[in-house]
Amino acid sequence: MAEITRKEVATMITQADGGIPYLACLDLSGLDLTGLDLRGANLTATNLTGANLAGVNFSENPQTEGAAILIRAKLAGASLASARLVGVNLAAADLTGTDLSGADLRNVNLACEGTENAKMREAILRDANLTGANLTGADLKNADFTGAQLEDAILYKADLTGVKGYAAEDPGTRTQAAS
Amino acid sequence: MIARISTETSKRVPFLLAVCAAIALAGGCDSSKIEHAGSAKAPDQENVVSGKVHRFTDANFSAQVLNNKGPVLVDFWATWCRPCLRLAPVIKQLARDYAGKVKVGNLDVDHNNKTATTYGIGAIPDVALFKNGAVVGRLKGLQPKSAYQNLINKHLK
Repeated sequence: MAEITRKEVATMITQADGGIPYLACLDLSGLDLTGLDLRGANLTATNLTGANLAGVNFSENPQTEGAAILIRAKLAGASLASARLVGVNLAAADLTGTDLSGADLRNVNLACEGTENAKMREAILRDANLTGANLTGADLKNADFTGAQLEDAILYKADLTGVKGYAAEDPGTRTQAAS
Repeated sequence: MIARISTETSKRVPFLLAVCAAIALAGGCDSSKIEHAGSAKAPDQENVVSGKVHRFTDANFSAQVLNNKGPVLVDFWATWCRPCLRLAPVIKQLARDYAGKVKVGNLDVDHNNKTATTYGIGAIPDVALFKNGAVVGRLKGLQPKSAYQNLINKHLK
C-alpha cells in the first residue's frame, strides 16, 4: 500500500516551482497518478507496482532540462499505456508485466531491465537503448525499433509481428535466449 | 538504421551481466549510495564545497545545523539537478554576503537520505533556514536571490 496519497504527490509536484520533484524511493504502489505532470521527476527506486500511469508525461521538462529518472523503479504490473517516456532512464527498472502499449519510448534507456512479458504493442522504441534487455515473452507487435540498440537483448518468445526497424540477421537469434 | 541482435552475444554476456548487476545493486533507498547513471554532472560542486559553503551530511547535521547557535541556511540539492546547479552560485554568494551572521551550507539528498526524509524533501532545490534547531523558513524550487535574502533578513532581526 502506498505511503502517500495522489494528492500529496500532486502537492510535491506543484511545490517544485522550477525545481525537480524528488520522489525517489517512495512507495507509490497502486496509486492512480494519471494526469499528473512527472516531466523530469526523479523516481529512482520508487515503488510504482500496479500504479496507473497511463498517458503520463515523463519526458524532458524544458524548465529543468532533463527527462525523468526511473532507474531501478519498480513498475511491475503498472500501466504506462500511451505514456510519454522520451529520453527517460529506466536502467534496471522492473517492467515485468508492465503495460507500455503505445508508449513513446524514443531514446529511452531500457538496458538491463527485466521486461519479461511486458506489453509493448505499438510502442515507439526509436533510438532506444535496449542493450542486454530481457524482453522474453514481450508483446512487441507493431513496435517501432528504428535505430534502437538491441545488442544482446533477449527476445525469447516475444511477439515481433509487424515490428519496424528490426531485421534478424541470423534467424537463430531472433527468438533465442541470449544466454 | 536497422536494429540488430549481435551474433556474438556469448562473448559479451558475462560483461553485460556484470554491468547490469552493478546497476541493479547500486545503492538502496535507505543507504547513502543512490547512483544516477547518465545524470547531469556537477561542474560547480567542487567550487561550492571548497568555498565558504559548508557540506552538511546525515552524520554532522545535528552538530553543524541543529545545535548551531546562529541561523543556518541549508540548500538541499543533488548533482543531477540542473536547477540546483543554477542555484549554487547564489548560495555561494549568500555565504559571502552573510559571513559571520549566517552559516550557509548544502546537503546532497541522495547521499544523506535520512536527513532528506526527516525534512520531507519532495522537490529540489529546497532551501531551509534553521534557527535553534528548528526550521523557521523555507523556499522550495528555484527562487530569485532576493527571495533568499528576504528570508534571511526576516530572521536576522
